[in-house]
Amino acid sequence: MTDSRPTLTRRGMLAAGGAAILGAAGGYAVGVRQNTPAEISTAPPPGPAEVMPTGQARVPAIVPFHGSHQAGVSSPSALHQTFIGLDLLEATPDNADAALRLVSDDAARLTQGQPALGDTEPELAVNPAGLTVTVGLGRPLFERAGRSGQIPPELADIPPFSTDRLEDRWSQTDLLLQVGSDDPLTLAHSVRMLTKDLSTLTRVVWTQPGFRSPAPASPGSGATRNLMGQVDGIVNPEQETFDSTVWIADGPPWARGGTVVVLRRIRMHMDEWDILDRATQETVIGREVATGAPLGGEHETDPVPFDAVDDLGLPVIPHDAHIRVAHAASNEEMILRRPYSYDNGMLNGTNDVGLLFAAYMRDPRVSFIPMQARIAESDAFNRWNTTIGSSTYVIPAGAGEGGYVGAGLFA
Amino acid sequence: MSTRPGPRRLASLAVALLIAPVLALVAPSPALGHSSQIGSSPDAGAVLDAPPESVVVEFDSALLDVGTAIVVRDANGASITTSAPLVERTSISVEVDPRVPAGEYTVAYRVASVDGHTIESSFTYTVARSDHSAEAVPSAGVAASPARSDHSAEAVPPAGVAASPARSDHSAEGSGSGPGWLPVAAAVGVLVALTLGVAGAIALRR
Repeated sequence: MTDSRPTLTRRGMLAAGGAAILGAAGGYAVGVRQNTPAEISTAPPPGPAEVMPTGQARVPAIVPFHGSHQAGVSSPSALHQTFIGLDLLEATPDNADAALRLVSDDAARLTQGQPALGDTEPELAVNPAGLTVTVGLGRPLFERAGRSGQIPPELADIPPFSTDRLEDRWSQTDLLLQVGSDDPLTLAHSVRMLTKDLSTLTRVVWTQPGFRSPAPASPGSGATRNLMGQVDGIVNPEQETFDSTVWIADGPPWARGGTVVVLRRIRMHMDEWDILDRATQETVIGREVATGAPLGGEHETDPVPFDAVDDLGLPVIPHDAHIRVAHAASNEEMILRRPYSYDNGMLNGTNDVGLLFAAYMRDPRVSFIPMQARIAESDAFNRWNTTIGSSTYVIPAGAGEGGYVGAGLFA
Repeated sequence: MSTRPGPRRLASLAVALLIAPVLALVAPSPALGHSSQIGSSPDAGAVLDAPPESVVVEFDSALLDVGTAIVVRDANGASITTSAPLVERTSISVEVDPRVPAGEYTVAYRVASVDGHTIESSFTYTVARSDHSAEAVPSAGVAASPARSDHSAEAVPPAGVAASPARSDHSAEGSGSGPGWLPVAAAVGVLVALTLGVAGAIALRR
């Protein structure tokens, strides 16, 4: 390493951190932002300092833990996020309740930059960097704890799709912890504290870490690029439809204001995808890679010209293009996408990389399930990706001050 | 892997640039190699005694069924296609309304080959005789209706849009008459000469 790489020197790092703090003071640190395209697109395009690969422009920041909704859904997507699937060692209502209290207590501290009780490395808790801890409950938790009657109707079984190749190691679990932070060290520490404190009650079944680019796909974009270079997460609910898309409106207090998350582990077949030329890749998706614009459009937010034909009279957006098939047939079918990439390097000679497709919705029965059924049926993109993991959780409403997530459910 | 074009690629590009304008006159496919149309039923430029019931286009390599589209239109730009495209290993086919009147019909298609390239092209054939008069032609809306709603290939563009590319790009196949082939024959000669000449020059330099 030489002085020609100043960003990697200690002085460079400190300078970048200083700039980051200034940037944060002007933006993210003021509180929780709604993660909707409408709001993000009105923000001024980021300058070079804000699209530095370090992403430090967002730190430090504190996202409130208490509130009517759990953080980690409408708060800005963290740069790094780990999904942890856990099973109760002994599934009793008391153990379920104890786990929820324990997680809530740790999360309330860690997200505010305070060490957890008995924190072995309190120094690692001081920079939450937008840390959020989100708790989800799977159907097996209710069933195994003898509380099937309390399963909210929105927590539907996701049926198997013909294109799924689900692996047991990514299967449904009792509990989900979704932990996100812009600082991967903070994230690692938080995950370790949370799982350690839960270790007498639960065992970790899987851990799925993901990341996203700190850079918007293009200046002013509300989306980022995935590992295939595609602008991902363009179609999300607007401000006015956000609540009706995402939050559960009915049911007991613990569920009202919650949501349902569908987590799909989607392996990308990069080596096969690379064979396609750019035009064919764009035909498969229905969007230009460079701009994210639908074919025939200029900007990523342009409406998709589903009926347009080209000079030869052929559809500009093919009948099997991903954006045609995945397009929400109605407002009811909208979902909130917060995708993360994963990269495990090579596995048996091929790239073990893909997408942690995390989608949030009021009711998957009218949104994700019909949409995914269409995708399984006719999406041209199916050849280049395979869902190898799938799990679904109800994310209870947020906890008030002094309360905990899921209070009143198992106690 | 370097993204800079090597000498071989530059040479190929030179050949391609030289022959492309000529190819555009004589070949049904505007693409530079990879997979191309080697035949069809009806043949490009065919003059038929009766309307066909289906149209088949064959290619020289295996196809990848992504983004596939094929649509057959009459001279007014109205679709006579009555099914979704069927993709087989090296061909695509589509059913068409056999009760159409005499006239010129344009087949436009888009296919992808297994090596990851998409080709779009069109050709024409002429129905010289038909038992069906123009009055029997279903309206554009009726013609489109048998196709599934998610196949917007059947969406009817303005007549001018559909008709013009076929005429401008592929008039050679469309006409099918004797004198019309003379410039094509000349073009083929030029193409052969150019290709041999350029290839020879490249071979000498290597």
